[in-house]
Amino acid sequence: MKGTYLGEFEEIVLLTVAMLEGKAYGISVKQEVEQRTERKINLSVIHSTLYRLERKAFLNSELGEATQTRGGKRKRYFSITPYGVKSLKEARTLRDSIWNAIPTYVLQD
Amino acid sequence: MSYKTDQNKPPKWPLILLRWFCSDQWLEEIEGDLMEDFVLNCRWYGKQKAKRIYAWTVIRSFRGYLYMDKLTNQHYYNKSVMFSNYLKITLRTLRKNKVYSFINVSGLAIGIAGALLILHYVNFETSYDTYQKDADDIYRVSLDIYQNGEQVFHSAENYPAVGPDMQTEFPEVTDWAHLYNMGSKNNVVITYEEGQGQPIQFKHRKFLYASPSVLSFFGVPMVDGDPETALNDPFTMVISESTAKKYFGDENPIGKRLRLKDDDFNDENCLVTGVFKDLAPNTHLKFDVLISTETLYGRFDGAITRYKTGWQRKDFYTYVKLVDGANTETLTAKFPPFVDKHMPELKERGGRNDLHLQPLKDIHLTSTLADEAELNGNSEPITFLSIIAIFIVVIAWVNYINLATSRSLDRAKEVGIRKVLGSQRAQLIRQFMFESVAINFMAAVLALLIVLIAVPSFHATSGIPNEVSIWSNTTIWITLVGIFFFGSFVSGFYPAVVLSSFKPVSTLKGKFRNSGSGVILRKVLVVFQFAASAALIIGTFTVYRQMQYLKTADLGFNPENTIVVERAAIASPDRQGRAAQVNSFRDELMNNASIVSVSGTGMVPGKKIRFKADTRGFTQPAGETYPLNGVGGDHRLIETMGMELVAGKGYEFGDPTNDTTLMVTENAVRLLGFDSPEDIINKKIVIENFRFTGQVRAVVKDYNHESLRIKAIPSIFFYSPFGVEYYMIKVNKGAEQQALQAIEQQWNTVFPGNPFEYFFLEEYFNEQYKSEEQFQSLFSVFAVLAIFIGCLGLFGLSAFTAMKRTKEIGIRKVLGATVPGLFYQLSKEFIILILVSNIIAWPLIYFTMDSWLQGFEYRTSINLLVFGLATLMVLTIALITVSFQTIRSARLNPVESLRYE
Repeated sequence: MKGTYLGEFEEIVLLTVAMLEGKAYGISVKQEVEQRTERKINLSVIHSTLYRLERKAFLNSELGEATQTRGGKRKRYFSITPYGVKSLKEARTLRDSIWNAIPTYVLQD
Repeated sequence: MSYKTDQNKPPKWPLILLRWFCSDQWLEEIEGDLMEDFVLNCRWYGKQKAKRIYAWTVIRSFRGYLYMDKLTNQHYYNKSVMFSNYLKITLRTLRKNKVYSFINVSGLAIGIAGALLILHYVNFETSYDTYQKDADDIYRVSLDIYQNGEQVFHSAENYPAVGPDMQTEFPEVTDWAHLYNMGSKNNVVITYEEGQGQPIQFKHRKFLYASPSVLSFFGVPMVDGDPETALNDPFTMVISESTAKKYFGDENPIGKRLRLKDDDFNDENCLVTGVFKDLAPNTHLKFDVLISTETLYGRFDGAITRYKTGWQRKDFYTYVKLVDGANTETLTAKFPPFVDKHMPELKERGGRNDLHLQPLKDIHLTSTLADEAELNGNSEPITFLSIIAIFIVVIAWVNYINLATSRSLDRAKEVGIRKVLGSQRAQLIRQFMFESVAINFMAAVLALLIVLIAVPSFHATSGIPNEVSIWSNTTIWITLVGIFFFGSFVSGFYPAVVLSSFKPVSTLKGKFRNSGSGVILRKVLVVFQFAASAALIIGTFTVYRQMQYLKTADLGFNPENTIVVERAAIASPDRQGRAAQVNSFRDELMNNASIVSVSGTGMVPGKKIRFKADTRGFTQPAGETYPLNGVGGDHRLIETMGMELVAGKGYEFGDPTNDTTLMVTENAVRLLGFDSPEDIINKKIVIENFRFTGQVRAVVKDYNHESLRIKAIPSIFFYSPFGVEYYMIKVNKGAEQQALQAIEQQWNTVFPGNPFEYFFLEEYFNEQYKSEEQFQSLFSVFAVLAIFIGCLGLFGLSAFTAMKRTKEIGIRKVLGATVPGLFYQLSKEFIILILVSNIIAWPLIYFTMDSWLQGFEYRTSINLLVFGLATLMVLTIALITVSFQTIRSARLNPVESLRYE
């Protein structure tokens, strides 16, 4: 189903939000994903992914504190919903089942 | 804000953009994230790159989810509602003030349309010869001939050998091409004989002999055939697509043969080896048939010198292609020794030849040499018109601003109410800008409509061929869009700022007064506009008077009711046969009742006589000759042309002395050393270049062979009954149709196989004033435009002053002023303005028209009555314009105008 489908980048972002334990907002997610994937990501891509995940109900969000470096603007913190956790698990189970179905000789180098 | 402590600030515009499109739901955190990201990026990549990333991120943030929200969510729906609100208000305002809206829109539209048409003309004229391959590197070689230090010849044509010799001797010259311009001098008929049925034949003017490289030299686009080789062999020809259609219909023209015949008895049967696309109309060298120059070389012994390698006959258009960026000055400096080398005997004879390089692109607008391939354009009106175009548009905008601000009283209350109800100034500005955009848009659409309607007649007056489409000209569209955007903002901004600045308290209390500032500026503008109108009206009248003068002036001959037929191209090959044909054609026609007189002549008035007789009186020293126009004709020439004899007797049929006697014009008498026409009768004169001595039998009154721009040229007449170039046929007034039928019938009997063509002498002669006529029509069009635009400005001004004086008028009325008295009172000011503008215009236009008239040897005087008439006209039009406002103000009930106090 289109609404619940989790794309590769979405999955990474969702995992990152879960990892950051309530400290996830635009910049922190961007830095974390950039470090781990070792590629440059435009902030707007992070934003659009986060909002999309929120709309799919994988994420929850609330406004947080403002800081000086942000020009007095507040952050929006994202946290994963139980539904998001469930989707992540489903995605993992799906992968694992496919992994297990692969004959071992194929995976040998 | 706190981040101001940080020196590194992101650029501002992306933020404005973001705030504009981004839904408020997310705006704050996105802005914050952006800022934080920017600070981090500054640290890692430096300020410049950080700024770039910042802007780029904002642009990439332009995603559906952010702004769709704004459109769909009720809460964010506001702005688009406002948009439709602006539209509604705009339409209402336009509808409410129909007259204002009409004047605004039509004024702008006419201005824009006028500018677009002028631009179209300027664009077409300047586009000549810019499309050819390597057009920038192509030059035409022109020729100046001096004899005893005096310039005798200034020609577009040159010696056939100039091109090839230049290429061998100058490394700068990479290629050459020359064309022998024959169709315009000779009578050429081309016939397709091998087809079925009757042979198809046409007379050809746009016909040239071309050297093999011509097609590739100019990059003529071919439909069929190889441009490199098509003209290599003798008796080969290439023709244009439409010519091919004329002769062969839909058949393949390649490999077919066409026979060329001209009145020099050349008879050449040529193979069609190529077909080229019809040439674009914006080239000075137009042709639809080209025959290889190789064809010429076999005409007679020595033809190869005559047409290829010689430096004697000068009748080839010669073009050279220079290496990229070659310096033409250094090349021209090498020409004198080059000429000396090839014409060593020239100096001894006291002659000098100068060669010049004319850039191909400049030929149309700047070259006015003898033997041009066509009548070229003129660069002066181009600059003049460009200025007018800009002027018209700017004035239209200024008038729009004037009108819009002068309506401020009407709208002051609206602004007041709006502000009270919570409108912000920015919203009001948006509202007024929106109106300006709407009006400009309507004006642009209307302008297109006007252009659409005006294009055919504009093409006719300006001489642009109809196949040039104004709509395919991208410059026009770009200009239109540019005018629309620029105009919307420029003309909308000032009224928007002024109107939105009103304070609600004062406008609603009724105490509102517009500031007096800008009145002087408006007056100056009006004076300026009316000065221009008056000048243009006077100019139009003067040009018109001069044109009338030119057409009715005594030319020394009478061109009326004269039909001219050019000699037949295909005629009997031997002398006697030809003479018999000429005689039979002439004499048969003389018997026709509708024909008064027929004469065979060697010239036609209006066409330059290239044949010069170097003449002197018998007693004058040898070598001191005067070049007189040589006119050949039969014994009926004087009668048919309506010329007058001042002294002596003209040629008579059968008179044995005809062949040894000459006639001269009055102005040649003194040149030849005689005091009065009677003195020269029966005296001997010598024509040195004919080695001929003869007696003068009569003196002819001076006649204007060419346009009245130049003085009548001294001429010499000799008896030449069979050397007929043109038949002049004087017919009875009103009997033109019968005469034409008779002539055609006779033509077909005597000269079978020749297409019958004719023209009227008067029309042909007046063709010379084509550019003057175009000048006249353009002048009158702009006069009307200027008046219209001036009236718009005046209308704005009168509305403005009437508004300012509303209360004054009210009080005057209360105190007993009458309506006519008030009308006078209100109009007085404008009458003074108009008079001032006329007085400014008078000297300016006087000197302009005076210098224009100086260009004519024969001219009308500048009539001061015209000045008075023009002033009266302008004044009347202005008063009518003003009266719309003044009468209304004068009739206003004082209760209305005073009740707010």
